[in-house]
Amino acid sequence: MSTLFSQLRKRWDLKEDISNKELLFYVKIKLKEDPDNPELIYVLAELQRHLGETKEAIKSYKETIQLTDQRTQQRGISLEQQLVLRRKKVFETFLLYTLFPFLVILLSAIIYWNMSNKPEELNGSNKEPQFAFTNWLAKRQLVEIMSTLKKQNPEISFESNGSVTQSTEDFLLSLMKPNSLSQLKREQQESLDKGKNKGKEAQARFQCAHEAPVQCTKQEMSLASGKPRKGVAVLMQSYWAILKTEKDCKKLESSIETIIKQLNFRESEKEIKVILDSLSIECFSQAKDIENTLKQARKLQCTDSSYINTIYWYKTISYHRAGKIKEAQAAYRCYQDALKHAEKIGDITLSEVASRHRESAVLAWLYFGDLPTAMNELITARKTLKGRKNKTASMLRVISEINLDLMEAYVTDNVDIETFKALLEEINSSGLLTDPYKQIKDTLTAIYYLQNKDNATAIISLQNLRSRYKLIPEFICGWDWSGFIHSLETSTYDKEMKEKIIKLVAVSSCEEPQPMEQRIKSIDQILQWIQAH
Amino acid sequence: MNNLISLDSLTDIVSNSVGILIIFAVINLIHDDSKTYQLEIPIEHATELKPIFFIAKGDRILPINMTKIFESTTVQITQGMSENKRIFPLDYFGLYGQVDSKENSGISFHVHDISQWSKTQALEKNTSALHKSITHIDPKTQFAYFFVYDSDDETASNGFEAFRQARKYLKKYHIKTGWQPVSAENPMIICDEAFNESCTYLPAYLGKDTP
Repeated sequence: MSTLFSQLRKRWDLKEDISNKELLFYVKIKLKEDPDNPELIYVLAELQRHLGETKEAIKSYKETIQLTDQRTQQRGISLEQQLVLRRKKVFETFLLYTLFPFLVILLSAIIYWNMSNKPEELNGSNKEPQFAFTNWLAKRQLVEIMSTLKKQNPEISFESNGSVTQSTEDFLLSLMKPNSLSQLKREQQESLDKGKNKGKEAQARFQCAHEAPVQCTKQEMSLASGKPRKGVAVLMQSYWAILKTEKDCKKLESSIETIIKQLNFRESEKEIKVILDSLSIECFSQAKDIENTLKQARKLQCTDSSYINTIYWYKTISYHRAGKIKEAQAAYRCYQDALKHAEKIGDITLSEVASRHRESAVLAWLYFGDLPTAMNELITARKTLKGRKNKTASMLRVISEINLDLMEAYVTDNVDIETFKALLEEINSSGLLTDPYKQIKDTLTAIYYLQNKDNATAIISLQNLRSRYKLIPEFICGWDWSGFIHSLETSTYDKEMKEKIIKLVAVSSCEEPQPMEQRIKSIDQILQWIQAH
Repeated sequence: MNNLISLDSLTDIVSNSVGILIIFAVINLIHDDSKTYQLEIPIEHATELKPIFFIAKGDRILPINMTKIFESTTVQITQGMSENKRIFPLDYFGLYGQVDSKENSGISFHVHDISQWSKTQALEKNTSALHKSITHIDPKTQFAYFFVYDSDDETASNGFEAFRQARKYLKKYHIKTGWQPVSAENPMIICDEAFNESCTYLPAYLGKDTP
């Protein structure tokens, strides 16, 4: 132990000969400067033990142990903190190295996504804004329009267009320009209008011998003078699109009266006024409002007699609905005379002549049950257009409607199978029938084969009809079956057959509103009945 | 032998590359699917229903009262305000009209201000004019037709999102919808197909939907 004291004397630069008591005193001074130093306290305890101060030595020893323990604990805590820090650093490094490849992939995916969705660059030379989706739609519609044009006008050649160097593709692109199609349509319309106007001048002089002249007031007949105003025709073309969809006739009449009052039509704009008035008469007639239909017909006749066939059409229907058969017959004769007059004078288009004959057939059949006259009128209408080499779209449309009327007449008359099949073939191959007309065609075909006991073919037609009703998004009224139903009353078919035919007619009729599921159910019931026989 | 070439690194590289390629393939497939979804091809069909017109621009929708619009247009035309393709005000929710006699294809309607129009959120509010105009549509006799602003500036005027929301809402009431894109250069035009074949306003359904 004396070695320890000697070493301390040396370390603290004390004389070798100083006593342990003096050393103890020196240690106590040092402890005042550093009271928590366990080494000094241990030296103090040793010195106290050597000097016989046992109690104080024990106390100092305990204090040394206590301080040493505290130091050990502090070292432990410090080590633990270091470990936590180290572990955190390792975890961060681990995360970085593990997630880095995923981050790279994610970043690449975002860049790839953005590159793929980069908006299409607009062509600098084109001033019009272009949108990929809209253009895509427009192109699809263009292709559809072109194929329809080609179908309806086989005589159209896309290579010419006044330029030998222009390719078909260039021509198609030229049609993409705004209003190019309307330009084509306008040119066609203008040529039609020229012929129409000449015809109207001649028709204006027509006075039917079967009815008394209509008494009109000066106010009704006279319109303001002046040149046609720019914009009025366009306004009416635009407003027409809205007014024609109006089903509330009183509202329609009020809208038309308001606009007529606002515009104060001039003599030179008479045709526009007549077109507006014809909308009212059509609406009232469809609503079976006899009084207002006749009122509008008189008004129209006073304004302009160029729509004379239209006027007699509505008069015939209205008088018939009112039970005034003599007046209806007179109006129908006036219709026929007006048509003859127009044909004699000439200058009404062939499509119009054919349409008027078709309408004449419809009147004869639906209101007077006169099948021979109806057949004759339909055949005349067909002949008017069939011989033409270059048929326009409107001619083809009229032919398709005439053919369907003729089909009803054939089914009513139950013509021979060859005649019926020839007509059916022509209708099927024309590709001009709209969806509502296709339903009528299938219904008539099914009835024809049903009444001729060809059940197998009737089933095929009914299945076609069933498929159509399953697929069409909306049932559209397009046929007046009243003449056909009326003819059934005098037919010689047995009661059960009559019932089934009437049920089938109801399936394709809009007189009886019913959901599509009900129509399909009725077809299924008729199919079951046929299969059972 | 252990000091010769080790294949461990090569295996890691190959497996990582294959993994990345698979991820790209999956992303590509998802991308293709979304493309198909984005092209919502409208299938139009003939109808006897009457169109009720709306314009969708930005996040707003305007129900159009055609009677009022045409009455205003008539007044402007009779006063000679429409001559020389002049754009004239209609005093109707920031709409302006234009008549181009030479074009012979109807009247164009331009949108100058949409601040008075209802936002699409108003669809759900029972008291809003937009909600009322939609609930007044009778699905048995009417359908909704939208002129949707198609613009490359999505935030400012593209009306597709508003239209989609309205269409979804209308579907709940079994009301059919139809639409056509319009823009500032090719505005909404009201015309009749008797004078211009492209002037049709028909209901449409999406290819994925059953009619």
